[in-house]
Amino acid sequence: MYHRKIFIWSVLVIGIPLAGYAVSSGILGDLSVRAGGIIVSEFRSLVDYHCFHLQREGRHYFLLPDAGYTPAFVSGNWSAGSVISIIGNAFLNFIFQPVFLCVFTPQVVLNIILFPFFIYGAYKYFNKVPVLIVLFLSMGLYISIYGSIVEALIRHRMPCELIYIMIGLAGFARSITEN
Amino acid sequence: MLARIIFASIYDVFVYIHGEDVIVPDSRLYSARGRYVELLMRGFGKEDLARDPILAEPGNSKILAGIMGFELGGWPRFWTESNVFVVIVGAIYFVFGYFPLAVRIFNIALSVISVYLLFRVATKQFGELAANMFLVIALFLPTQVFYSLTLSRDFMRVFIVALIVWVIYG
Repeated sequence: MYHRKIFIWSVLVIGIPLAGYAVSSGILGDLSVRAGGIIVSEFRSLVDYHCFHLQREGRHYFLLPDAGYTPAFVSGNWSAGSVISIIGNAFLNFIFQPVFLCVFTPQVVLNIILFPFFIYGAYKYFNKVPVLIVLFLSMGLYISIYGSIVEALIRHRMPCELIYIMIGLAGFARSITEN
Repeated sequence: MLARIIFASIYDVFVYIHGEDVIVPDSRLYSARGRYVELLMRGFGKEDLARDPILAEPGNSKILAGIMGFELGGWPRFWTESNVFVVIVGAIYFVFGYFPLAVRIFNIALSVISVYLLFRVATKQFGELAANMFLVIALFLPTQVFYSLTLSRDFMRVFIVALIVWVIYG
């Protein structure tokens, strides 16, 4: 207990002046601008890839028509609505593709059934397993925006879908045991 | 796992007869590059690589030309995920000879181990009911079953994510 107090106080004593220096000297501002620039440029390149590698023939296609968001990115007129549109579209595809009949259809049905339970499980267990849920969302966001070809998307999302099913089933188990 | 290995053996015969991996066409690329790394491990020189009967096959010779153009007959220059997987494939070929089924079994093992690690996490964090349901569903998940038959590098990523989650929450 005593050691813990010493640790907390030393963190406060060293951390507060350091944080103050970082804020007042502009280091924090520079870092945040640089990090923001990196994130924005990475996002732009992902979206460029996403928009220009859509394939519609055969079994490679996307759920929503591209008319809703692609022109905005092609013309460079970015708006909050188009960003939300592409992220939402990408994430829905990430969870619910393939929407056509194939060998993965049973899994998609499972994903659809588990979706409300996933939301419930993520809400109930966020305090217990925050890293798991944040890992799923961050990795899922990256893969979903990048993956515009359905076959590759299904393959790349495999680590996330295991987490999705685990949290979905946890939510399902919790909901039936609570009732 | 045994069922999956039997399935993988049947699929391996199919790929041998058909000539192409229909589930993941990239498999040929990884297999050819793995053979290239295996030959490097065995100490073959740049000029010996083109004479290798497997790399001289019509599909593989184009891949070999690409590798020679980029790697210049040496080891992979960058440790990307793809190159790490290729080195693992090369190491498997080095031990067992040119044997794609061994890589398929390696992928199956990674898939099963990943599911087991996440099962342990689920048991500890979400209780036995959720964990048991997860184990049954995840082991028979179509993506896990079908892609683990191929020479896909994605199972390495699945395993690393499962390992990280297990280290944190297991």
